[in-house]
Amino acid sequence: MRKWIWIIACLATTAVRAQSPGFKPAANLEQFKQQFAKTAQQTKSIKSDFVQEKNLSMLSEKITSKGKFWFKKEDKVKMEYQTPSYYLVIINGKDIKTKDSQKENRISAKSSKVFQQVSRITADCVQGNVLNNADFSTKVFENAQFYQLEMTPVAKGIKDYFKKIVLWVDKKDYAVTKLQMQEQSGDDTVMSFVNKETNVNIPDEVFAVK
Amino acid sequence: MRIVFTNEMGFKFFDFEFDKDGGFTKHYMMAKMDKKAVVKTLRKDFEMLLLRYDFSKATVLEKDALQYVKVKLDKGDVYYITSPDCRELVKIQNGSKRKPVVDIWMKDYKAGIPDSLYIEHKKFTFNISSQRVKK
Repeated sequence: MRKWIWIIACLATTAVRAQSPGFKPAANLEQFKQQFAKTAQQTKSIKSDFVQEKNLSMLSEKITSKGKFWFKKEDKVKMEYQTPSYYLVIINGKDIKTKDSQKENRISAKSSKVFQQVSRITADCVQGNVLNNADFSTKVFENAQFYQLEMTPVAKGIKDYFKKIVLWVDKKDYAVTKLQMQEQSGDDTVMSFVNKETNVNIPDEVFAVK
Repeated sequence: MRIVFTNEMGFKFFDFEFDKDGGFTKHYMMAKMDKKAVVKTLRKDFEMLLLRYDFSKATVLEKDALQYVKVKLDKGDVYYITSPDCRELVKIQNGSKRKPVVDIWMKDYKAGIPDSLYIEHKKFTFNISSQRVKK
């Protein structure tokens, strides 16, 4: 346990949000799977801004963080939180580096099964490769604009952390625009990707962990 | 009073409630940390931090230009170490004088409020560092 955000607040209650309304089971599942897999295959890199909203049932307001996101095939992910506080996490294969305004940490994902799982989930989610992830059972829904992938963990370790992970995939380009991580406790974290660019050149040095 | 710890990525570690009658409720603890000893340790840390003791029998000492407010517990003592004018709480220490068990540091005061908080356990590696978040 190194860097933590500390939140103290008086008791407040908010309603726990129900599943997004207006979505129905995807009519043409095979077509979606094929197109989604094709897009995932063609996505070599992603550069994007992100907005993260944390919903805590005890707080009436959301905690919003903003930052920059980079992904490069196969297994390189970098997230730089810029507001409200600086935090950097780089996942490069089996190595992980985290850094805050005071300290830098290097962790080998080999030594942490949870980190390995989380790094795989993150890479799979943004790349659109989740349908192949055996750690989840996935249901696909749709409305006019989005496909919605509802991923329920079946692997034991992940079950402890997440009740469900929901992805919003834009029907226009089959890109993941939003993901929601629902915790067993009822709280959730929503991450939206904005100003996204795919297949731009990102040098390997961006993901340096040594 | 509710205390919730999450990391930057939104990952929640625990959610505790301390009520005004001295009661304690564990609303959530992540599975890997959900052990009696861990909850007990964290509860004690935050009770010290929230000044949930009877200060009517506290004694005040002075040393090295600092003021020590000593509260006797069933096991060990808690020292609230402040600036001489008592305006800034510098450190909270639990244990005996010779063998401190926990040190809680408050640092970088701005307008009377510390910017950073460090909880350091001496007997095992279990440290917490947190910073004030500006809106």
